[in-house]
Amino acid sequence: MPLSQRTERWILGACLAVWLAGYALPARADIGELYVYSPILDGAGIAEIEYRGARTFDSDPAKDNAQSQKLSFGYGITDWWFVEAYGEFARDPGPGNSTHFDGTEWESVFQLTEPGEYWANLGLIAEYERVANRKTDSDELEFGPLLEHDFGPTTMDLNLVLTRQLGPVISEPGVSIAYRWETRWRLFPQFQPAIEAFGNFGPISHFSPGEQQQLFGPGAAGKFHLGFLPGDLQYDIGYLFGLTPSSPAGTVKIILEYEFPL
Amino acid sequence: MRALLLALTVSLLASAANADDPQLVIKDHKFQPERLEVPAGVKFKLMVRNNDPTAEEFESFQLNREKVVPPGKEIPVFLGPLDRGEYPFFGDFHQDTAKGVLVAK
Repeated sequence: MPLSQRTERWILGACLAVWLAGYALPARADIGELYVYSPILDGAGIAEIEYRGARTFDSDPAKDNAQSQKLSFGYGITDWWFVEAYGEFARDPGPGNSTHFDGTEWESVFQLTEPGEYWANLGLIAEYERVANRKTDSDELEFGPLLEHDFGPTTMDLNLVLTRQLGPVISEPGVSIAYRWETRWRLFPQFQPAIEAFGNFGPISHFSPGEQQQLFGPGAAGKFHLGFLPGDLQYDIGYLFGLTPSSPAGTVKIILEYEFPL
Repeated sequence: MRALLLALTVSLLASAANADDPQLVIKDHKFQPERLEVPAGVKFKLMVRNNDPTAEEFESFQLNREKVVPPGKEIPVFLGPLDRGEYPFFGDFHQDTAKGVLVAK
């Protein structure tokens, strides 16, 4: 990689971190975010079309049948900068609710190190979510580091996410912190079993363990070369068990992604 | 600040190609050489150059690497330490012709 590009991405990442450090945000359980990001990007000119779906199951109607459906398009601007835009449809938990358009998201992922160059691969994610109904919901700004390390035939990814609500309706003032973790066994390209955990600690200023959502469970990921089309079809599925009283008893997630050179 | 600049400089120099780095060249949608010996037990940097007018993606499930090589460009692929053995790789955009294997000795 040319020196100028490498310098440029570090400077850009540092500037973004400093800018976002002036903000604060709240955390909420978002079943649309049950995805663990890798800091490693495929490179410039790679596009992806992605679907993310999730649904909760619980004997308590107040936590049952929450749904999230996202469709997105992403593109590798450079070998260290990937942008993606999402449209989200959601259903609130409980009986009688219907699916509605929830908003749009604009996301950037920055790869800061080359894979294998250091003990851990490092990246950054920054995301802005604009909700469709600002009278009841808040926009959100997310930012955080992405870490990855290979342990033999397994790959461990950890995302830390700081979130701040923006807009006229703020339900959780301040900055909240969440994590996403996955350890995946690279068994075959088409089938890689995994263990995942997603947690939201809530606002940093007043952690409330009883209100936190913690999800943990098995998953699998893999990819297939289509042959008749350029690129690969990838999947990421899982079932997550709720570990706290605030968490839904179960959440199923399905992610499908078509990645291709553009 | 000086420490930060020093760390950045060291990091940048670490990415620069050395004459001793093993190298692969993509030409006519094939890797040259298709069989390349690399050192076992140490970290090393594999340089992959694409001499074709179209992009290729260097990919290896065994090495857990996947990266686009733009046309006319060269990329570093950091690998190792590898156990002795053979590690297949391929070009994801031309899988029928772009194949090869690294032999760690």
